[in-house]
Amino acid sequence: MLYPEPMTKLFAIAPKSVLPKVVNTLHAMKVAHFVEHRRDEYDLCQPLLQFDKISSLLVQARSLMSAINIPPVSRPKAMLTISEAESQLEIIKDHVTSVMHAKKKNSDESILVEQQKAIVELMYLAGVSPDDFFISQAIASYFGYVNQKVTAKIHDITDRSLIKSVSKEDRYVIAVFVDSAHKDKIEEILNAAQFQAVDTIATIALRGHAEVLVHSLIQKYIELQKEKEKAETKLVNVTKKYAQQLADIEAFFAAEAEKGQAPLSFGSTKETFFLTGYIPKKRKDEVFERLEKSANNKIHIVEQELGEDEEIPIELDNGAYAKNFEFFTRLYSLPSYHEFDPTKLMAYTFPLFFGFMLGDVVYGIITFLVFYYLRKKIPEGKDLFNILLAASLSAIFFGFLFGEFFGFEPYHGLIIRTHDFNTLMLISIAAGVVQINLGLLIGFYLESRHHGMFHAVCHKLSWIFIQIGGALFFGQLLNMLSVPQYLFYLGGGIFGLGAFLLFKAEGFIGIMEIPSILSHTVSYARLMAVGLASVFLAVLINESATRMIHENIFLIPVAIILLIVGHAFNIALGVLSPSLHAVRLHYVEFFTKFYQGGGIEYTPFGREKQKSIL
Amino acid sequence: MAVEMGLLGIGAGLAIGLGAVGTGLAQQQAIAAVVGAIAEDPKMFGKGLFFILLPETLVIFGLVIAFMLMGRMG
Repeated sequence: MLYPEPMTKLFAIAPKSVLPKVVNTLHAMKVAHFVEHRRDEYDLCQPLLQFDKISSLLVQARSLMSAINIPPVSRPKAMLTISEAESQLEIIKDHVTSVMHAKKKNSDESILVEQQKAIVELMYLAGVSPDDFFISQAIASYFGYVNQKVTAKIHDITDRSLIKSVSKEDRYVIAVFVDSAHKDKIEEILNAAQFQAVDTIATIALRGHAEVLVHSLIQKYIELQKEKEKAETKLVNVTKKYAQQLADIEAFFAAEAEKGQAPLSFGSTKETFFLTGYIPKKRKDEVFERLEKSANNKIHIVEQELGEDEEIPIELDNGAYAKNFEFFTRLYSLPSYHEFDPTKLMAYTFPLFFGFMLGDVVYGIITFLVFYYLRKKIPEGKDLFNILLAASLSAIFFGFLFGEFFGFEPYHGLIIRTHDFNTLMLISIAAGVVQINLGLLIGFYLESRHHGMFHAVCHKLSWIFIQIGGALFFGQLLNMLSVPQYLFYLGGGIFGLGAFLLFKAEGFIGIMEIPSILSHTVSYARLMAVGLASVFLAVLINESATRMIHENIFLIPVAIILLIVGHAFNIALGVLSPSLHAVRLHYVEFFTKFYQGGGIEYTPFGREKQKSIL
Repeated sequence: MAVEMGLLGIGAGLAIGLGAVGTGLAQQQAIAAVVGAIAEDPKMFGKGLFFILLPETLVIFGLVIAFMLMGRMG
């Protein structure tokens, strides 16, 4: 129970004729974590026959989904065959592409008409028309903005010119038609007036008077907008019509592609293929039976021994409640196969620590409601929110114990946090002593199983000796404890023995590390510290608001705002800080006593990838 | 006696204040590095959190010492 799920390793060999059936069975069972075959004297197996075709269809389905913005589904609802899915995809593709194409055409045209309208309006203002800007060798034409009047200057150079100019905002719109011979000089004048050309290319095909053109362009634009709406409705309808079907097809092809490329993990000879994989021990018989049935008994399966240093995939084995806390274990690192899975231990201590720190009934209720809502809203964060829901319940429990409601104390709880600092500190440190020594005892058990009793005593039990001996010896020496003389000497002896064993195990570094046990224990004082910060902030907010109300009746709205904002801020801090610190106490102070991690995740062939909030 | 009380008070303040400064200095580097690491690989979140929170012990030690000093003040 406290270890990861027991696994077994299978080796199977069968003729290639049964490969698709074996792959299908394994995919349906979602049980085998394959070991990749490395090319040696035996080559890699080839993908299933239709793999190339399926991957190309999968890419098509995915691009269609992204074009019309459909989220993928994890499991197809409909049962399909490859040819059915292919023909359905073809129909959807034709339909979607034609709608998309019409929409794109409409949007391109709208942009062009908008551009044309803007230019022609400007031309109308200046009193010219698009036809005026024909391409000619003899006449140079300019159209755009200048920041000062240039008509007189151009006339000074030549009379053979036509200039239309009108002021617009703080600039002038200008159209200049002039003999090409004077082109350079005119351009100099225009540049001096910071000429900014308006590109008339978009209107080159338009014919007619500017005023008439403006009206017809507006009309055309309105029509295009109507068409756009129609195209968008069509697209929405198409999306609605095909969303489920397309998502099903994608999920189907994704599963088929996964099956298709599975043989790449297998080895092969000319006529046979072979595979190695891990499966949970409890499903061994079922796997044997179903594989033999699917391959018409043409498959030979052998169970292999698990090596001590082998990288065995890890499937955590926890009940419904503790399963949520696997989130934290994964975040740190999965246990290796022969290690304790610390999830169950954390599942009870994390909410306790969190509740002890937050410890307010109303805060607990509010966070409970918020996380309940978020759990509904963000399904992929379900594990984390379940953890925080449990933590909120614990905060409510401790809130009753401390008699705290929103920072107020309507009755005297068992511990009054704003006064009983020493009691809080003692409880915190005691929690540390218990948890650290639990960690050391687990470490001792694991070491003794894998490396022998003496090794375990030197590496783990020595720390417990150091704590007991150190408490008696240094407690008396520093006048913090009062113990009989013989206990003082005994404490010194036990401490010395612990230090010697540790030196034997870890050398001089071990001796250097001795103070760390004290710092790890004192570190649990954060249980008190974080809690105090939260409760004092709440008290401060309440007192400020109450004082305001007493001083001036008109300050009531300000006091209410202060209460809402202040407590919202404190609740936000009150969730973040206790959860981070509770996690940290587990990761740094607890896990380091017995846990190494480094296990690889059990990812059986055919199981959908779990979504995580992180 | 009053001077002694005052010195104990200053000592308590310094213990927590300097502890907080130390934590801040250490965390500024740890957080910068961790944010970079998480940007590269979101799986680093758990280990990153571990490193961010390591130096916070300093301020907690400061607080414990402050309480011990305040205990002497009576």
